[in-house]
Formats: sequence, structure tokens, C-alpha cells
Amino acid sequence: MVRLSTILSLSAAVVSGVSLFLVSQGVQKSENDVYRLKHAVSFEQKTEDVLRAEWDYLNTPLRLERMASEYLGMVPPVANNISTTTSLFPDYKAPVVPGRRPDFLLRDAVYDGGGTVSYDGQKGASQGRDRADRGGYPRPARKPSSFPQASFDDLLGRIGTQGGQD
Amino acid sequence: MALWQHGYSKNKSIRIIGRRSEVLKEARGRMLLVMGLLGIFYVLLLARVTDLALLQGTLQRYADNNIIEQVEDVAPTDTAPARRADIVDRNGVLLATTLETSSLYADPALLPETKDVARDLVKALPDVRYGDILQKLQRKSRFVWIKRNLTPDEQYEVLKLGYPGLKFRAEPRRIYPHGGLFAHIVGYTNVDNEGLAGLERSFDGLLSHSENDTLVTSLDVRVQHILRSELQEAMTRFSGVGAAGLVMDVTNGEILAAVSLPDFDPHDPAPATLPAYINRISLGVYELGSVMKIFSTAAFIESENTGMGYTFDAREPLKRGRFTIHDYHPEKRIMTLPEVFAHSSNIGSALMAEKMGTETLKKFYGDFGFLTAPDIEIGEIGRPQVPSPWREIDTVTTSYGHSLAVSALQLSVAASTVVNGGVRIDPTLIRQKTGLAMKMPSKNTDLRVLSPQTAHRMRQLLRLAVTDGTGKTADVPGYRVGGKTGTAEKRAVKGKGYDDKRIISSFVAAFPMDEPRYVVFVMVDEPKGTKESFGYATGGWVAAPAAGQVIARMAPLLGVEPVHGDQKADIAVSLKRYIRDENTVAARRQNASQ
Repeated sequence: MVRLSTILSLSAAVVSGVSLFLVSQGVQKSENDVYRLKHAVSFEQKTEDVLRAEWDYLNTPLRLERMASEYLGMVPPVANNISTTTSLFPDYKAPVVPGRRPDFLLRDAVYDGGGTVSYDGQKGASQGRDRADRGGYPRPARKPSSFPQASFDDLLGRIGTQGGQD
Repeated sequence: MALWQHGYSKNKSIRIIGRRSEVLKEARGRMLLVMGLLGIFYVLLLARVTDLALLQGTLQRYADNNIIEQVEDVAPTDTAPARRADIVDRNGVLLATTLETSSLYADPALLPETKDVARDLVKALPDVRYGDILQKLQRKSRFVWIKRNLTPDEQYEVLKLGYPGLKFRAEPRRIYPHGGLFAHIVGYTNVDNEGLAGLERSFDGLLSHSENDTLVTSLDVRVQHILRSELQEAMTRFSGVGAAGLVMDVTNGEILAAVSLPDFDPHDPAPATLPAYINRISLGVYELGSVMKIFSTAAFIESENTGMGYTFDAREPLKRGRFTIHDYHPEKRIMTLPEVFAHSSNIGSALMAEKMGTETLKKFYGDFGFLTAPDIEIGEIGRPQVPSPWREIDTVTTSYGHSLAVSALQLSVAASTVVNGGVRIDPTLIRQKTGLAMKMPSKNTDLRVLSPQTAHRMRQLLRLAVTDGTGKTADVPGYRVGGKTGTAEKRAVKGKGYDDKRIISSFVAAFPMDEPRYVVFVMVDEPKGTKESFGYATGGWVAAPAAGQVIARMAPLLGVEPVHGDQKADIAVSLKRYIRDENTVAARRQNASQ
């Protein structure tokens, strides 16, 4: 007859062995994780070093100067280009919004009232009535897609010919 | 006799009773225990084998190993040594960094067909020689370097060859993103990343052991580029053999730009050993001519406490012993002190020096830092050539820039001293209190050389030399430039005396003269006159326009506000009454004749 103490001892040994095995596995997995993370950090660091060097290589003043001159027609500033007082700045103008499809909600908020001309040439007040009559937002007389859409090139063209004023 | 022969079958068990039965039970229990232990042992063994074979082997490798594969691509072999710290400019732009590259080595024992390998390597690496490679591969060694620091393309070509005996070792390589722009200041390293010149050499220990820190210099890559391009332009236009320039902050001695031409590629620094490539900023010393009048004049005003109306007889050349001192732009009249300075009269400066005396002048030269080597963070420092013994004639000739050879760095420091209010500051290439500079002892040897009153007078005189003197081509509207031209003959290569065909043209400028912030020094070595300059190659034709261009381009970048209009507020206006106006003189003569 196997004694109870023997069974308990065997059970304890098995449990300990299994626990030890699991702990060992956990440690090894953690070590692997640390190893991988260290190498990942090292790899990222090396990549960052390369990118930083490349960035500064591509941004050497000589190259930027040539490109600014060739593609943008820029030249070094002279003293007369520099103003130290804001009184010489042009008046504030609303920013030019690049081309996009009209937003009816926004257009309504902007164009409603104030005597601005609506899509169909009527005053904004009539648009307001129209909206009130139909219980919703007014529909434009023409489809939005028929409006000429502003492009970034148009914007640049306006800036070029009108000194940046819309 | 067997038991079954006595009527017992094989399948029948024997029951033993009594004392023997107890013994058998005990034996069976022990056997079970041993079997149990052996069973546990085999289970553990099985678990360990599973662990080794599966968990740590194949499964682990394929589980989540993208990162490992990437890492192995980059660093396929041995562990790389510590990374050398970066050197950056004052705005954090990299001047020198370290990237990991692959170096190729061979294990000849694994390469039986050495001739084939050598032939293929020469195809893959065009800059290696077949004979050299073959000789290396035939050595009785397990390790021979084939080529260090391969480019990625070269590494790819070698990998394509597929020889198992060709291996790579990850090695750091020093990279200078701006090429030769900072070659003389930042310096370079050898293939083992040991600093050999410039900051790389003087900070070798700190850079090697400060992986995560950076050496923040006082240099500004934008100003350096401007200075270099203008120097190159002047050097090319006037066919000079070399040029040097320096921009210094007069308030703290920080050097924003320092250029010596011709320069070289720090990745391939072999030409630096040639004399033409020496560091003309701090190592080369030159007799710089009339720019030295700034200091003899300042010393004269400080020691003699004279007013601006003090006059000098410059009607005739000055004879001292066997020497005759002429003016380059002879006015042949009695000149006031501002006129002597603005028209760069050698005779006037010589008379000032004589009045001061040798000891006084030498003391001031010592205080300005002309008699000892300057203290700066690079090792390429030239000692000034001081007349020895110092004769009376040396007192006279040094006053207008001969007999005393100093470096561009020394001159810039002294000019800063004059315009910053009279306090000599130590030049530095390190942005103070940042990065690795925190680990260095601070220098504080500021010395008052001139009184604020004298310094103010000198600012006026320097501005006058630009508005009404020899430095007109350096003026930049809005920035109130002050400065002094210098044209000096170089010593004859053979024999004694000077060679009037080989000159050094220089200009030292400061701006804005109301409250100077920067000193700009420009020097061109052996310029030749051109058709546009009517054959002249003097400081006013060669160096002053270049300095003006440097100021015009750098001032907006550095946030120096231009001042427009109101010429009456110019700092030099009060000195103009000491300058002879030819129109007024002509009118007076006409009135007198009537």
C-alpha cells in the first residue's frame, strides 16, 4: 500500500516541476521579447540615424538655394524687403478657399441675407422665404456641379495677378 | 526442478503469507516508487525536448519574427562597437554623424578557389585590385579584411556572388552630410573612427564615449554656406590661390562660420596634407597689412588720449634708416586722425606708432592677443610670427601690418575686442552650456583692453572707412557696415624682402556699427587684378565686396533689423567734419582767387 505521504510528495513534485517548467517558459519568452524589442529599438534608431543624415544631406543650403532659385525664382532678401512695423502690412482679407463643392449648409449660413446674390440671381431674403415656405434649406437654381470649380492653379494665378487679394 | 513440474500451472500465482509476505510488499512499493520517479523523469525529459525542439526552435522563429528578420538584414554579423556621438551646428543640423555600414572580410579556409573569388570580387568592387585580393585570400589566416565600409550596392553585389567564405561585419562609418563645407573645422576620422583633425580630433575622447549626447557647435550651416560661396566667388573672380573667412559673434566669441579654401572632402581627406589645403583660418599666419591699423590706431587713441583733430604730416614719404614708408593712396598733405584711418595712410600710422613707443604698442598687441597663440578648441593653431628681436623699425612697420604675422582667427578676435566695447573675449567653436559643452570647464578670461570711449571712437572710425574711405564697396544699405581694408605684399619666396606680385587682400567688417553684433573677416590669397577692377587686386576691390555680400545675405537670416533713412543718425556723421571735402576746398580756392 502506497502511503499518503508518498502520494502527496509525488504530487508536490509534479506540480513543482510543471510550475517550474511554466515559469521557465515565461522567462524565456520574456527574454525573447526583450531581445526582440531591443533589436527593434536598435533597428529604429539606425533607421532614424540614416533618415536624419539623409534629411540634412538633402537640405544642404547649396541644394535648397539652387532649387529655390530654379523652381521658385527666389533670391536672397535685401534690407528693403524687410519691414519691422506691421503698419506696412496690407489690410486683412478673408482667406481664399481652395476649390471644393459648395456646402449647402455653409453656403446658407454665409449667403442668407445681407443682400448677397443667391445662385439664381435673387436676393438672399427671397432665399430665406423660399426656405421657410418649403420648411427646409433652399435648393440652388443650378446644380452645384455646373459651377466653375476653383483649382489650386486658379488660386495661384489670382495671387500672381492681384497681389494675393481676392 | 521447476514448480510446474510439481503440478502448478504457470498462470497460477503463489500466495506467500507470513513474514515473507511483508518483505515482498515492501519491495513492490519501492519498485513503484522507482518507476514513478523514472516516469516523472521521462515526462520532464519529454517536456524539455519539446521545449527545445518546438517552443524555442521552429515555433519561436516563425511565431513573430518579422522584426528579427529586419534586424538581421541590417546587422547580419557581429555586434557593432559603440557609436560615436554626433556633431551638430547651433540649430541642430548634423555636421558629422555615424551610420552603420558593412565591411567585407574573408575566411580563406572556406574559399578553396581563391583565383575565382578574387576575379569575381574585382568585378563586384571596381576599386579593389586583383593582385591585392588574391594575395590576401592566399594567406594562412581565418580573417582578412577585403574592404571596409561598403555601400549598400556593393554589399548587394558581393552577396550575389554567394561565396560562404565572404562575410560582413557591421562597422560604424563617419558621415559628413555637408561634405567639405566644414572640412577644416569639424575635421575627419580614420577608418577606425579615431579623430584625426579639427573638432573630431580635439574631442575624440568625449565623442567616443558619449553615444547619446551631441557636440553642439557654435557654427551655423547657413552662414557657413554664405561665407563659403562668397569666398569662392571672390577667389575665382580674382584667380586667388586660396581664401579664408570667419564670422564671429562679438558678444561671446562664438564662431558662426569659418571657411578655408581650397577645402576637401572629409570622407577622403588625403589632399589635406598638401600645403594648398592648410587651414588658413587658425593655422596659417599672414602679414595682413592695413587691417592692423585698427589696432595701432585704437592703441594710439587709448594711450595718448587724443582727440580726432590730431594731425599727421603725410606730405612726404617717411624715411627710417634704410626703409622708406609710402602711402598706397598718397594724399600728400597733412591729415587728421580720421583721414589717416579712412584713407589708410601708412605714414600716419607709422607716426602714431612712433609717438606711442615700442613698449606701449607691444603691450596693446599683447592684450589684443597678437603675440601668443590663440586658445580655441581645435588643434590646428598657428603661432604668430613676432619680430625677434623687436627693433624700432618693427614698431613702425607692425603699425600698418608688416613684420607681424597673425592668423585670421587672431585678427577676428582682436577686431571683436575693438567693436564690442573694448573687452577681449575668448573665441569658441562650441555653443556654450549645451550638449557635451556641459562637461567642459568654462573659460572666462575676458580682459578689458580699451575703454568704452575709445571703443566708441573706433566704431565711428570703422564706419567712416566704409562711408568715406577705402571700404566703400563693403557698404550694405540698412546695416551700417564698418570695416577696414588690408592689402599686404607677401614675403619673397627667394631672398629677402617682399614680392609685390603676390599679395594678400583682406577686409574686416563689423555690423551694425551702432551696436556691433558680428565681425566678418574675408581674406583672399594672391588675387590678380581683372579688367573690371582696372587691374587692382587690393582689399577694397577683392575682399570688401565679398564681405558686403556676406553681410547682406546673413543679416536677414540672423534677425539683424535694418535701419532705413536718416543718414544724420549715422554713427560716423560727427567725424565727417575731420574729413577734407574736395568740393569745399575747391570752392574756397575759387573764392580766394576772386
